[in-house]
Amino acid sequence: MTEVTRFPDDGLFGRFLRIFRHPLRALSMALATTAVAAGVTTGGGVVTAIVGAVLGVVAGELLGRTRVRLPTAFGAFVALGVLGLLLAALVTGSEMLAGFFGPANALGVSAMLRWGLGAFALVGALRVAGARYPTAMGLELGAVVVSVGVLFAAHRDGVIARPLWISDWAWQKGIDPADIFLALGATAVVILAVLLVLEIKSGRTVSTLVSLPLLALLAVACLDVVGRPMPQAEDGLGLTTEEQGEPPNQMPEEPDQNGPDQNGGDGGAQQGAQDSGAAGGHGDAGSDASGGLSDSGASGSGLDGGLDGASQGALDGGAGGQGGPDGGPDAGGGGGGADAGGDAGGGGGQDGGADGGGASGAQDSGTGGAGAQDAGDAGGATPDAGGRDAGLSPPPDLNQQQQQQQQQQ
Amino acid sequence: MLALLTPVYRVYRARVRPWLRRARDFFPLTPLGLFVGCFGSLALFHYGYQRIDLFLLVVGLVCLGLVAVSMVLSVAGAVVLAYRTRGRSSEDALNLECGFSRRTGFSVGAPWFVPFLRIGWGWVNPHVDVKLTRRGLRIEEEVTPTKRTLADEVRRRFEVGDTFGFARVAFERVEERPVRFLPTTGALKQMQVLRTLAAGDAISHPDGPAGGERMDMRHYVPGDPVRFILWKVFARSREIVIRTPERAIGPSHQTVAYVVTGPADEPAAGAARVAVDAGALGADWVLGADGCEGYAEDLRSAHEVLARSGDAAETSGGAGLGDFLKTATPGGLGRALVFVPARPGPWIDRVLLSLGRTKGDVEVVVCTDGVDRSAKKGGRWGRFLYRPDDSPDPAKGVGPASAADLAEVCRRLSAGRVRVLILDRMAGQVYSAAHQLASEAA
Repeated sequence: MTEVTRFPDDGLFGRFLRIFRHPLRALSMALATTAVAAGVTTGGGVVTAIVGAVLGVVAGELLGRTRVRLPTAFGAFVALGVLGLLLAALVTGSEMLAGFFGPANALGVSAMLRWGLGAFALVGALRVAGARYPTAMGLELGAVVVSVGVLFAAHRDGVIARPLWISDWAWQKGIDPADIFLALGATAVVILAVLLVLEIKSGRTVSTLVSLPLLALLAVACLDVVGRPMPQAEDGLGLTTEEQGEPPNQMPEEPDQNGPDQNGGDGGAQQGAQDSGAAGGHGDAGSDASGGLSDSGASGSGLDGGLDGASQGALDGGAGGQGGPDGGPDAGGGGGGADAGGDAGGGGGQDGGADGGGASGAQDSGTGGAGAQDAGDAGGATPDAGGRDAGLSPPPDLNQQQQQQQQQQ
Repeated sequence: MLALLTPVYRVYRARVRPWLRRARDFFPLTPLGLFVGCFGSLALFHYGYQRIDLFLLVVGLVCLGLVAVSMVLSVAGAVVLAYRTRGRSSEDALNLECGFSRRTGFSVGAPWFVPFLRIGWGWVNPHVDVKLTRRGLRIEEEVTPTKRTLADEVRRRFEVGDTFGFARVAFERVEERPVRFLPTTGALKQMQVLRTLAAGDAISHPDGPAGGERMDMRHYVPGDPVRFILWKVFARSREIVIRTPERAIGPSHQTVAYVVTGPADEPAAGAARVAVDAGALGADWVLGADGCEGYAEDLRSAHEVLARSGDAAETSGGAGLGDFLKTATPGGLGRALVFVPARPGPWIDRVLLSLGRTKGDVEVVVCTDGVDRSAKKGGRWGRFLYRPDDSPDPAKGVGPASAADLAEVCRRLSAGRVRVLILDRMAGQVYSAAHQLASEAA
């Protein structure tokens, strides 16, 4: 059955906009090729790959409009790609050609042949398929997304400091690199969606192009509301498991004179006890993986910004009675640096780390009198420590602050 | 193995495939949408949440969001559109000529307030080329018939989807409306395909009509043709007398015309229409066509016969010619014109078989919309490398016949000892088959 369905015409402006789908596609393919080739081959190879990709778009589009069958076109592009590989191998493998060009030039010529003809063949084959069948456009656009995604793959697993060329620039501008990645993703998907819209005759090109960025913004906003994914700390030291460890040591019956926590023994370590006694409730600062404190504020509202508190989190860096908003997105796991990113810590408590804090966190909560907030997740050595802390009546000022924070949340 | 699979494929084609198509119409996701949905899920859940790839997180989220929005909008739009288009009917008959467009008056509201939603439709039956234009807040329909037909209803296929091509829901609606599409006449205004209308085989008889030889005489009256005046009589007698036909009887001189259906038979039907409209068949004629049980003897019924012949199966071309020649000319065949398509097919053997049993003056008119001399069969390699031609522009007819096809038709018909003419509907020219064969040989 032949396709009989027709759609309204796009109008003059819509037809005008549809002209730009070819340059936009060529630009997308050039960027994707750059993302793949950059850092892998020589500068000449990158340039040749870009040129090959653009020419591949043109050749594929023109070939798709002819009566040449698709397998025939595919075969031609595959043959061209294989030819590029063979020629590249010949240039570097043949003594005569390598001697003629010189070693450096031979490598350069080989890279140009390999990448130029390879990009031309691959992009041309994708384009000719997309020109014939709309479904195949998904492959084309998917290839672009994957190529660009590979370029930013270094930031996976929460390492937003990579790639350095993005994170350095972002830090210099005072922007969170995570926002940069989100913005890049939204831009990429909008561009690809625009390509789809311009390719399909719908009669609603203009209104769609207006609505599409709004939808992408809405998606990013939803992501902010729902919450971005956070990295899970490694369980190398067994600190993040929910398994109940050995029972805590028996605490002395006489009260601890160094700290306000009369009941004391919430499983905290000695270090935490000392901190709590000294500062009367320090904010936990998750330490960097290297062991250095990332944010050891001296004031009472120091930001807990520890990036990766995997193992050194027991060191309390925060000072003062209020932990303040924990800003480190990667904070978390280990030890006392359990104040996870995103959660505003009240006093020493409100540990948002999923795996709970270690010893010092529990102690801080005890000293700050906000141990009730830790009941759920401040496991540490004694999961019921928070419960015991909750039995204490917090000072009036802290109680008000907690209520305010709860209202804000 | 192949023989085993052939019946299976036939069953699949006849029974399974229609159901699959119908199921596909109601399944909202297109293959592209399915692909993007899977890709988005992989990007969102695996790379976005598990590997915390923020780039792919947004890509996956937006992809899945677009697919979901498209699906919801398409389904909702289809439900609304199906409700609004139900039970439509019109008494206004749609009389059109193939190749000429006209607005049908059918329109639906354009969902301008819903983003990403696109609505379109086409005609499943009859065959037309639909063009949709947006006028204000409505989408109006303009059709160009591509094949002659006679129908009582219009079956439309609506498609509601999104502007990305991720989702699509389709359904059909029937509108009760008389439809008659006549074949276009192209550039043909007159057609001189009959050699003569006078047979000269009448016998003088006082009871017969005055249709014999011009042997009688009478006085001239104003209005008589001057060329029939007997000037020698006038010179002798100074009286103006003219020759008049004597009373005579003879075999019927009815001209019969028949349209053979087949692939690309629109030019044949168009030529037959010109012959009827222009009076090229004389005063007494009968027209028949494949796919029609009766035959026409007046202009109105002739148009109906021509329109109805468009619904005949292409494979049954020429099957009714033998019976038509027997029933339509009981008094013996005078002259016969057979309009045939320019593409070879099984109809040739049937036509030759029917004409072989007929005694009379038979002319076969091979009708085409031009001749494409550049289109040569590429042989095995050509079929392997190239796709067949796309459907031509309906305003330009069925497209030119290839010179090879035309030559084959002429050659096979000429071998049946019938006179063959070639008629180019778009150029309005008539050639002899010998002319075509000679040019083909050159």
